[in-house]
Amino acid sequence: MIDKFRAKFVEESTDNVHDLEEALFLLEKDMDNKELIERIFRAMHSLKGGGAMFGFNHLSEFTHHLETIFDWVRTNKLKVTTDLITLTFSAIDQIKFLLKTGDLSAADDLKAQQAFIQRLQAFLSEGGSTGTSAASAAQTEADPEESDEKTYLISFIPQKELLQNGTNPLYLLDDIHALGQALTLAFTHKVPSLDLIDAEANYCLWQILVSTSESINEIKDVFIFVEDECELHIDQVAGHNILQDKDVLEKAEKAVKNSTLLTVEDFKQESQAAAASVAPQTEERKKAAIKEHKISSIRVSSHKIDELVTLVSELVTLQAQLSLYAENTQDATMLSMSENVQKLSRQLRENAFDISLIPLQSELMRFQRLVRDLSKDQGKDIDFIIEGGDLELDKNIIENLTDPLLHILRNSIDHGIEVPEDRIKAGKAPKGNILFKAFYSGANVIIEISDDGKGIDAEVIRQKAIAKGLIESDAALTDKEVLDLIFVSGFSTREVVSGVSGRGVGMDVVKRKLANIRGEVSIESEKGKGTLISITLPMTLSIIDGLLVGVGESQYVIPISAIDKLYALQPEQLKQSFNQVVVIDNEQHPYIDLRKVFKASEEAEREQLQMIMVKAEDRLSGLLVDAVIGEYQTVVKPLGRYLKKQEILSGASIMGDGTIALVIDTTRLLQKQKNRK
Amino acid sequence: METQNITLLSFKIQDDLFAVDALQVDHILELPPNITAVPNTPHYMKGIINLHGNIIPVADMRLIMDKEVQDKRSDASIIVLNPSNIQDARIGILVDVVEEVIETKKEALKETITEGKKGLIEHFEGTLVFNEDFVHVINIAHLCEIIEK
Repeated sequence: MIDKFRAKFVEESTDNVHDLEEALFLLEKDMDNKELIERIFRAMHSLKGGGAMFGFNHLSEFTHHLETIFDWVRTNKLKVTTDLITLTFSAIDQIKFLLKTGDLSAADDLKAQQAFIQRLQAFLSEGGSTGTSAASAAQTEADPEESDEKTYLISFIPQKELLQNGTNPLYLLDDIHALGQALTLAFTHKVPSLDLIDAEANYCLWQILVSTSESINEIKDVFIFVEDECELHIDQVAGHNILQDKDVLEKAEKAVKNSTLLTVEDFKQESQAAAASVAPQTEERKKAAIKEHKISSIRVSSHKIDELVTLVSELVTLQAQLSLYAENTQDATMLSMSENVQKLSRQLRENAFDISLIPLQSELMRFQRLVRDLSKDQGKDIDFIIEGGDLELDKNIIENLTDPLLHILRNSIDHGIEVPEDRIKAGKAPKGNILFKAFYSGANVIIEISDDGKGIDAEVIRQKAIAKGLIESDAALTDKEVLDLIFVSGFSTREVVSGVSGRGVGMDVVKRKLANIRGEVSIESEKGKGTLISITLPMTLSIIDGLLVGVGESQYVIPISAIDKLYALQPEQLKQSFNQVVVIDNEQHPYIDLRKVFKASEEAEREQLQMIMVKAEDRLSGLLVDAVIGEYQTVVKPLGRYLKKQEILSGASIMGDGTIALVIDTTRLLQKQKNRK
Repeated sequence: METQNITLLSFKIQDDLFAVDALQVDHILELPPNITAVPNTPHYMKGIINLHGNIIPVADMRLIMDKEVQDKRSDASIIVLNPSNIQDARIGILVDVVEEVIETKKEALKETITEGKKGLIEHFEGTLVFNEDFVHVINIAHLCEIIEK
């Protein structure tokens, strides 16, 4: 049971860490943004609290020290500097590590953790404006700058549901009383008569006048876990302790009696109203921002979405059967019903697939981190620009995309962008650029990663390929063909394996991984100017537009995206040709007879046949089929583990009548034919 | 001594009785009119079928056991197995006749005595004497391993 909660905590914390990183990036650009600092502080606070609750004690302890730093930042005792942000970034890495491993046990890890905490403490004692032992008692520590007591009016108006979360509002009041002298006014006028009362609902509201030397943030902290379940106003009403004031006490008494809440105006004559009005406004705005954030999305396990998509696919198949049946009956009512079902199921399908799409943005944070860390490590100055980060892709594609993209980026930083001195010598701006651009193109998504680094020298690649025996020394290849060699397995341009790229994963692996999700990759590069790597991806893995064809007694689907042209052929045209070439309009076309590939019976004489020209990797080849049946949008299902050796089929598709058509992977088919020659 | 109950589903291939763990059986289907053949697969791979919108491969148990396939047996059925310890490994096996569910104790299984290999299957989980017949229990994980090769 507890494991389940821990897993949940880790999941939620990962979100928190993600949020933390995001806020930190923004903070780096806008160092005085109070809201960001608040956001960072809140994320840390949740990590600390949750960590302690779920037995991540080291995490909790560690985050506590980090939180202290940001508490100082929040109270203006510490300024946001690049050093601070860098330190926090490395601290986030430690937090990630702690989340992954739980409490540390290895002595080395413990030592590293202690060292890190000392670093944090050292940072505080050097950078902080006061030299008190901050690490030990951040929460209760008195703020020297605000040592004068001030009086605040807190209006705490909880919602009815407050008690359902197990919150005891009286503890909150106790906490406020601990801050200084306080006067609590309880308003009970909303409590209904006994027969209407819901025992689990909260009907009370409170106003508290508290005189304290703590900052307003300390008061807000008390309410940090209930701020969504209540309306909260904290206003400074006086610059000194007014709780001894007879006038004030009288007012308070009157307010409770008449059930009218105290307002800031009631204290106008005593208050230095200037500071007061600003606070509630920002508070309100912040709350709105949080609320909006919460409602705009919900968390659903990806398993459930997979299930939904499967069910919808099943429905689409069933609906196709229904329309087939309806057409046969020729019953008007039946036909119109089936048409409506068709409309609905199409909408449902589009919706379901839309749900399984997630924005690319979710992965981009990791890339930003990578670029930042690596460029700092290597003394390079790089501007990483992202365009089209809100573009959405199937989650299965995104999962398989991360590694290849990380590798390409590593290459760009490690081999592409030069150090500033070299860039200046080459007449470029000292700061390098890496542009990450994603956009739609037809039914595809294209991702381009370009840099303005030193590019790739085709001659070096050529020499290297010759040395490795990949090509003959006199092979006549264009520069583009030479560049494509880096995708050939066993090719790495750098002699020394530099911890950065060349971790055993070469561009050939990138290509192979992308091929798994039906993606293609190409490269362009100009020496001295830069490199552009572009990746073409299908928008979703599970639905394709396909051409249904008949071969022998079976039906096959060929993806429309691969098809160039269709030709109707007479059998005589084949007989005339030799060496697997058909001549059409005086042009020679190589062809593959699918009957032979799929070992269909060749008894039936073919009166007419069709040749489908498909393209793959700049090559064009004809596929001979017996008949072209029609164009369909089909759901592609995997063939599963037992048939995974089946290379030239990418899956199977269930047709309207419940029969199955196999989906041909044209790229692999053409490759296989080429290799056989 | 602790005894372990097991539930088996028995089926016939020609005149021999075999059984698999019934808890790992998902469905029992009549032989559908068409099984879509997948080209370039081992001879025992009959093809794939559509089971409620999912693609399930079907292996012919008779060929795996090296038996002759008798034409058009009307009782022929597909037993869809869902191996409990392998992911995404549902597979249908084509058998001559599905017999019955047998509840027994694990101790009742005796070592299977075979002369050499029985078709492609290298070993059995054991043999049970039931109603004066011998029922050979097939290990599903082992079967899947063979088919996956």
